[in-house]
Amino acid sequence: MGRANYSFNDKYLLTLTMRRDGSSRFGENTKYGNFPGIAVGWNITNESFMKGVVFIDMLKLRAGWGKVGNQGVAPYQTQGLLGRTTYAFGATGAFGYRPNTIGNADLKWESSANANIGLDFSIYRGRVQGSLEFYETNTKDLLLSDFLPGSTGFNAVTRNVGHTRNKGIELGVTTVNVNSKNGFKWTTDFQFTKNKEEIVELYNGKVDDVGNRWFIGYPLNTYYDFKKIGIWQTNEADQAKAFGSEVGQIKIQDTNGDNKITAADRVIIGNDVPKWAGGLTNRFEYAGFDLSFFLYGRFGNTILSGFHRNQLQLAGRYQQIKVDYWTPNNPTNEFPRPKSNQEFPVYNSSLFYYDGSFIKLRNINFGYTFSGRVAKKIGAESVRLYSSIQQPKIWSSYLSKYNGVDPEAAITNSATGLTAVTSDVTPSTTVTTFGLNIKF
Amino acid sequence: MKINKIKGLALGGMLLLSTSCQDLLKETVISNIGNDYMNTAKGFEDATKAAYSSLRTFYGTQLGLTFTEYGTDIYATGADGGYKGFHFYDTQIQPTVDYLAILWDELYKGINTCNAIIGRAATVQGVSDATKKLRVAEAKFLRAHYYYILHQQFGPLDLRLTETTGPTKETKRNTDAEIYAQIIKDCNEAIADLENKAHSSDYGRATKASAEALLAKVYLAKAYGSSKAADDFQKAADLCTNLITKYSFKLLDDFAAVHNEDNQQNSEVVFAVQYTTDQITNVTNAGGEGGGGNNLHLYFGMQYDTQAGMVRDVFYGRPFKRLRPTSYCLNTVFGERVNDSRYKKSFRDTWKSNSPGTFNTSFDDSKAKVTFASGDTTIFIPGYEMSKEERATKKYQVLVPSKYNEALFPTLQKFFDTKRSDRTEPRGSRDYFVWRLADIYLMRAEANLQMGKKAEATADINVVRERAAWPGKKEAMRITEDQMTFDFLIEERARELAGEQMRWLDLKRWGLLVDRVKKYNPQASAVADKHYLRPIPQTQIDRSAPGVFAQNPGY
Repeated sequence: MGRANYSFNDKYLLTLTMRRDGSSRFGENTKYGNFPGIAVGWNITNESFMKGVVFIDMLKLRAGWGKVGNQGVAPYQTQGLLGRTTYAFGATGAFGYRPNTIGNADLKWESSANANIGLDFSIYRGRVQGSLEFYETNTKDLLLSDFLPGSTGFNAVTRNVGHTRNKGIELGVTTVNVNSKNGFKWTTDFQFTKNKEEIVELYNGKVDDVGNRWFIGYPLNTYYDFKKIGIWQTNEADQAKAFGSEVGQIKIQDTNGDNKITAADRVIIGNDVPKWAGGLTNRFEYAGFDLSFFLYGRFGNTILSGFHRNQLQLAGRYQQIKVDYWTPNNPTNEFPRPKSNQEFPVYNSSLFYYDGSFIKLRNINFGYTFSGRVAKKIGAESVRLYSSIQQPKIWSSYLSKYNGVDPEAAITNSATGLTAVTSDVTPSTTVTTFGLNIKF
Repeated sequence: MKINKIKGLALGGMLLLSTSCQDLLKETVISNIGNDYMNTAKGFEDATKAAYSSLRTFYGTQLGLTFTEYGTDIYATGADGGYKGFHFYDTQIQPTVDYLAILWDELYKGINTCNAIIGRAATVQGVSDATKKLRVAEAKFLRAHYYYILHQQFGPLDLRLTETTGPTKETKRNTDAEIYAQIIKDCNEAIADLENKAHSSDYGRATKASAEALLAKVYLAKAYGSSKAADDFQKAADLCTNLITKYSFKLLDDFAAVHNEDNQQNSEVVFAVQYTTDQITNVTNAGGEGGGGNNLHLYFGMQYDTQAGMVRDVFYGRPFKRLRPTSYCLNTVFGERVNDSRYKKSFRDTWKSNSPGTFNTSFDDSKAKVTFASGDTTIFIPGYEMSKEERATKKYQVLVPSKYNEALFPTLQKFFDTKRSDRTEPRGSRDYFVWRLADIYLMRAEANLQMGKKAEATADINVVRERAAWPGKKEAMRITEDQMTFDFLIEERARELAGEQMRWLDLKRWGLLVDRVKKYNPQASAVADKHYLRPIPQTQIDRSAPGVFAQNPGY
């Protein structure tokens, strides 16, 4: 690796980097990758023409481009491995080994080229400061597990599957809204991020891969499934029957209009990438009192809910999420009628997807700092009484309407690549703390 | 100036790196077993052992039972469990049902292992030619076996005969004729090279007899299908004759002894999938309840354990009540019980108290309370509609046919396993009998009957029936040539083989699945012609190159 920094008059800044990395995890001829980078900056406030502009404290424009490598795959993916099996002949154990993973000798570095342009600013003597950044990251030769048809004798192979792009904007602003002479101060931090993730191209060109749920123009983790359009209602008995269903059961969208539900009727349901996210912190100070709260929100992503897979048999045998299920007297379109003779409702997978949007009040902090005189009386340097509440409130339809858990708790299963709120996550907790801080 | 210096620095840094040692990055498999191990003498043996292990996924599991006994004329749904679509043939049978992919993927892993053994044998060092020949023959038997299972369930398959050595998504569906031809070729080559005896000294390894039994099954199935040849029945019959006459196989004297858990390696067993009492060697690759073992003890039991005087114990088993016999099964197939001992010996009808005390009755309305000492009879299933007056005289609850339901019914006892370590242990130790001699007799009877050889068919059926007779009733069990109809054979197979992962395959072979299931299993009235084939797992279709692997019609 090599790096060079150059700065002229504290106005123009330049950084060049170059690294060459090798990893044993890749194929014989593709073990090495080159990863260059360049960053430039322009301190506009240091220009002479800015001397007269007094309300601007700082203005800096920066841009960068760089490539980084990723070798994030398990070792030995370039060669096939065997897996152990168990059998017996008579009472004698007969452990065996058979092909378990398939080697991919062509495996090479994944590389992400990131280009960004940003503006850092501070105006009115720091009353408003922040930064704004636009970025685009193109990831090529993305390393992922690619499912293989079972008849090959293997589940998946690790390979460089294609090209994805992330494009977005990040904005962070801190403002001092009020700073009055009587000691009242109100400051605000505001953050906003928006990101668009899409698959640009796959290993075989601009062709969707249904088996991996990879679709050109959509994020990697896209949900593709049958779509529930309601519940068959009492007056739809004949149509329900024509679809092999019955009143009270899930009505699936017949996407191709052939009057039957087949795999061809599956559609893209959504993905786990929020359209945008934002955070807002407000702080108030007055006469020894301080109060702050932090709001955070994420919008537009879809949740795959493991809770609604594992606790939604609607068969009366196991514990069950409380849901709004259909009965002749409750003609809802939310959940199907319970049936004793089922393990799950037919097409239950259409009940797993929920709007992942939420707003969380992450914390509230409230405190009072006693005056120096009071502190001195007990021989202390400072005394502060405080209370804080972590995560007092979550606004989320997944939580409130569908009895899910924390909408933020989704995790990605490395084997299936599927991101889901699994049914073994701990629900979000609210913690209230009272305290006294004495410093001597 | 500055720039030049910097350039020099960067260049120097890069030179430093590019001279770094190539050897350092050579990846050698240490913490795992690399693929080349299979080319060693020991690895070749281990691969053959591995090739057998896929059998456990299908035989002796709920998965196997779901594909072979659910939704037939003799078995209907019990109260509990999933995979009800296989009972009902309703929209619950979806290409996304996990059992489809589990069976498909696991057996194809077995097939790929067999392909590797067959393909690599020539290059393996340190193994004698005789051993190589034997192991290759075993691999061919297993490959044929796995293709037979998959083909019966799914129809046209992706016939792969060489090891998959590189990632590919190219798959295809070969025709029935191509698949049958390959299975028969593999069987014949296995028959030629396998040990010429009933059982190997490694009990459970395939022998010539195992391969002949498989081939007989294959010819019999083929004889009814679109790929049939004129001599299929004759070939099946000849293979059965070999099995009946050329080895040491012999029917046991007592039907009940066949499924005696203390007599598992008995003379009637032609081929058995091996399970053990040691859980370390009892693991199943995929699909086993609790991770392994013969699980069949779980699924046929009725809910005795919530009844008066009873708690669940190891002896009576863990009653998952997945299947219950249809009334056709009980009243017609097993209707004759005076001469034929198989109703009594196949079904448990008596439970004795293991939780004494006084209890309210539940299903027997002839009394309000019952009191039991330990060991007293608590439940009796007389098998007929005993009158209320008579029931009132009994000190236990009497379960009459009108009170049978999805949780209460005569309980198939062929698979009970009392050697389990505790009452909840799902991993049983009993071998699973894939083929036994009585089945071979009935197969030869079927083939002969189809060829019009009624006398021979009658003789074979009578061998099986005489063995099933109550003492002194052998004569009465015999049937005449006039009675030897195809319908009789259909029911005889059910009487002899009920529950033994056989019925669905029989009905399919005969082309009677739809007729008979509609007629005798009212909950499965949705059964239709498309159900002769299961749906192809959606993953196989989705993960293949676009459009190359078609779904079966109607799914």
